[in-house]
Amino acid sequence: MSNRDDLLAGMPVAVEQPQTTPLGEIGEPALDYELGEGAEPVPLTQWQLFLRRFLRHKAAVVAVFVLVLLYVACFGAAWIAPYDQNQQDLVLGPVSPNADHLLGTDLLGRDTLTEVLFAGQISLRIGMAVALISTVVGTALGLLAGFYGNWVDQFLMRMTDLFLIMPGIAILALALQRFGGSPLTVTLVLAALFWMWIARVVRGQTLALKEKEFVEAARAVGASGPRIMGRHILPNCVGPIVVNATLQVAVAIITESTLSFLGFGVQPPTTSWGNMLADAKGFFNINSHLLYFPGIAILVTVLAVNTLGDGLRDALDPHAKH
Amino acid sequence: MTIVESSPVDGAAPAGPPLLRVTDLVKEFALTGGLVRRRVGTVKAVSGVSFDVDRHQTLGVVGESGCGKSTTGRCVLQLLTPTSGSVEFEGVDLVGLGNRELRALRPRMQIVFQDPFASLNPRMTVESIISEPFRVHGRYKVDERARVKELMRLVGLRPEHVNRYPHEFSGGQRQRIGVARALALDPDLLVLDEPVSALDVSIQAGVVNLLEELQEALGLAYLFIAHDLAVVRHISDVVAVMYLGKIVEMAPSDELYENPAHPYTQALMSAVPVPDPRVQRQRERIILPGDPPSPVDPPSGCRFRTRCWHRQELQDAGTDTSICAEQEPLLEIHSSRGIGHQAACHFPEVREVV
Amino acid sequence: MRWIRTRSTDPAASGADSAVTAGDDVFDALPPTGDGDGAVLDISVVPDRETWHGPLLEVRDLSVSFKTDEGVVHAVDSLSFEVRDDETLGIVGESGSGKSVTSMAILGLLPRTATVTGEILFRGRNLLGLREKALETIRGREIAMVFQDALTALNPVFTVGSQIAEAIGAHNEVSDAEMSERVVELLALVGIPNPRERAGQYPHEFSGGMRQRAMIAMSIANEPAVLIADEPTTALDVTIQAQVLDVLERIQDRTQSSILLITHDLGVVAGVADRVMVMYAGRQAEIGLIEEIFYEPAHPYTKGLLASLPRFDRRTSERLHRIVGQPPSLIYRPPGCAFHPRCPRSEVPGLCNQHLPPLVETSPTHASACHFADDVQAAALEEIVLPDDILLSEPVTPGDDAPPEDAT
Repeated sequence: MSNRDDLLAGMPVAVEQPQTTPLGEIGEPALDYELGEGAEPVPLTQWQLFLRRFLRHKAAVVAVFVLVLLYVACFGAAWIAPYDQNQQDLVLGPVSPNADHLLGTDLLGRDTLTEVLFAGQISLRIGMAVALISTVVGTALGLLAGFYGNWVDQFLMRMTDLFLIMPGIAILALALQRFGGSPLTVTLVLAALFWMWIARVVRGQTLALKEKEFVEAARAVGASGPRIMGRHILPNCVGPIVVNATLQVAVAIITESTLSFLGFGVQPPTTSWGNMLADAKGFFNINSHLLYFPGIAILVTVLAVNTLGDGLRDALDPHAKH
Repeated sequence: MTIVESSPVDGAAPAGPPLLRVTDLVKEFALTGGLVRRRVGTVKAVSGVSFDVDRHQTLGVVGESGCGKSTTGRCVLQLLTPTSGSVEFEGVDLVGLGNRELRALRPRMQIVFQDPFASLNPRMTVESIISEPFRVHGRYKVDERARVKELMRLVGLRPEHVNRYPHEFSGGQRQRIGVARALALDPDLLVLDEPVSALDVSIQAGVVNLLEELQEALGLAYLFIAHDLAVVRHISDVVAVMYLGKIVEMAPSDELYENPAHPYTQALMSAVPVPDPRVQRQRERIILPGDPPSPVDPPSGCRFRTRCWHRQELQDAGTDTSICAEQEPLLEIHSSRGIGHQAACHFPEVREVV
Repeated sequence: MRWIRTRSTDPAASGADSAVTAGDDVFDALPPTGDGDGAVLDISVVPDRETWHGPLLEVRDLSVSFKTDEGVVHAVDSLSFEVRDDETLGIVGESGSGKSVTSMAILGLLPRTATVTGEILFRGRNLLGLREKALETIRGREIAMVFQDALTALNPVFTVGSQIAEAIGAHNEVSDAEMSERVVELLALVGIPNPRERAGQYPHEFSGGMRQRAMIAMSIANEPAVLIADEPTTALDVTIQAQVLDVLERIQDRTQSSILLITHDLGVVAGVADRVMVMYAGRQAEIGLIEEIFYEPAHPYTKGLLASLPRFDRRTSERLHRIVGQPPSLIYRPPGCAFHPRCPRSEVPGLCNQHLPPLVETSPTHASACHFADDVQAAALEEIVLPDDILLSEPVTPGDDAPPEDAT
């Protein structure tokens, strides 16, 4: 037992002192001691511990608020935005931020704030969808590869390598030509480019967990492979998966923005932050607000998501528990 | 390798074939290395082990790390596939048995692990852990919870704690949960792989007592694998000592401890400290030189010969011990000791080492 | 002259390792440190052996606590004891007893999150107040430590020889050639065959027992006055354990250092200790000479512990004695005596569960932290312990005052 184990082993989280003295019948039960108000050792559930640790990460808590705000603002754009989407005012043209248009307007007189909010729906949706799909696919493949090993592992790992070396932009460009530049296409292509990371992480976790005694115990009982993977291994990978998925949202948003900026992503008339940037790039000198605000939106979102991911990682660390 | 006969315990003759008969069990692991992952060597973890376990009996297997005792335990349950040899459970050879038949037999033989932290899924409640065997085999569908609580009571845990998670229990309690899980399907045989080694000393006694009481109450047979000679003596009927993949001595418990005949057993026993200062300071200690050889390349003939102090003594006295290097000693009845005491040595000599 | 010059003439002392004889006079070769003889780091922080006549190491009222996610852990609580010259003090305790934390506190190796109060007096000088620089002159030189897991305690990217050399070099000015000689001699002293070759090898090329011995070599390189061995053999096989304990004994014979042996294994302690201190839940339960502790224990915990050990030298047919319950949480330690929830003796309400037991001296050398120390010592085990409880299912009837034991 290491020194740290020595420290931590002495404090089982739930210590219920026996309610009566072992000698019981002799006189009064001697163990009616009071530990003082509220000092009873109560088991902290894993959820409570997680919350405690997470709440200690001030930045992450702020990030949660920011993200909530962002989501509410973007998805509630129909109610919040001062103007309708795509509402043009050709007479007005592009203006800098003023009282009427808090973030200014673009070439066609469309209110920037409104556009940013609606575009946010697309960018955020794509970000989340990509993270979700790639996580599901990556987790499944990682589990299979790690658990079954041998040729299954070899095959899946080679597939992973294959996807890793594929040039994303080229693929995306091809896909766009073939299937059109809808958010759906972009989502699917990006997901196809991101699942490998999660797959590797999950595979690693699976390999480690496979050797644990509780998995051996399940095998000794006669549990089938799928049961072990689903009941024993997967729940214990949740930490890294959640963290990874969160960070993927950020990466997806940035990637989508970059691609849209370059013209390979979401195509107009659908707006995303990325193609707002694309539209603005010619006008940097005159109408810099058209570049800043979508850019800030991306920046804030990505920062918040990353910070959240950090907080989650610290809070979910399972090793400090034992 | 000679088939070992069941050793009668307390004079009672075994009824019918033994519950478990292991014959010539061999388990080797391939060592791969190099770019192309060729096989560069073989770890001979278990090299021809044979023993019987009767119903209601406890066979203790002791040895130090690398002797192959844990591997043996896992091979018995087919958690590792033996390289060769047979493992007969009530006459049915488990090695090479089809998946379905093996699965059907699994409820009859279960395992309790060493590490109370790692042997329970931290994400599952106690109820889920203990009832998993039910789910896998489709039993107790109706009164599953009742059965779980009954099992918890059986191992000395409070049934109200069914919904708690492993981390809310202490080490000893977790080990009890592991026992409860192993008992879920009414097994006949339990393989216990160092069940108390990871527990505090003051907790070990409780779990050992529990195991003994359960054995009596439920009629279990135990294959008790451990490195702690004291616990093994206490709980076992027959004890086998392993070294580098082989059984070097096997005898009824008291007989082995009082009259060890193999030099390794003697060295092992002399090295175990006794918690009694006067006794401990008077004892003669046999210090074995060096480290155990690697199981990849075990010595020829007798595997213990490179560290055997007895051989050294004999050589000093002028006896020719070349047979030790040339011929592997078989586990044979040690004639002067009578029934059931076997030692694998060319020059066995009883010696009291306390 | 601090160094002991003895040349071993007893061939049996070197065990079966024939290589040991080369190292017998290693300490003759090392010049004394602290005598101003080429010793650069001669900061005389503590008095020399010759000038100090009190206890070598004295711990007074040591308390250590840590802040954690679940609360404040009181790892050690008001611990006091002393270590004298040329003795082996065994500190026995289970997990959570605070024994390892104590040893780390002595060497100042606790993390910054630890709050340490009390005094640790080494030859009269309080180590707890010292600055890191001053502590460094003591660590490895006057007080050295051998850890449990040699694999992680040794740096895997440096050769064993260089690590031993580092230990020597930290406190002495020595030429390279001399340094290599000393390293080889030290390795030979701890019984490592082919020491010259081995000195150039890496830790992973050593077996567990050899690594432990290499660590011992590192720790005695400067002939410390106190050697703290924290569970030195716990991770080792029993035959290797015997080798390592043998080495420790021989080292002590030669250097006359005091050894603070921390372990949970009462058998190990029985073989090598002069005095024993039993710790429970961060406090001292009992302290005394080895015979007193083993044959006349005066604390219910010690008594119960000794009785619960299965003996491999005897036939046992009865159940093992057990101590009910489990060690307490160090965050919510029971008030009064930490052991009282598990103690068969704590039937007097208001005493054991409220008042911290004082150290009762049952003899000049023997003290126990129990209100009833004398009674406990005098009573036979059966009188102070419970009849064995039944573990198998007992029906729980509603309204039953004594639910089935939630025990370990």
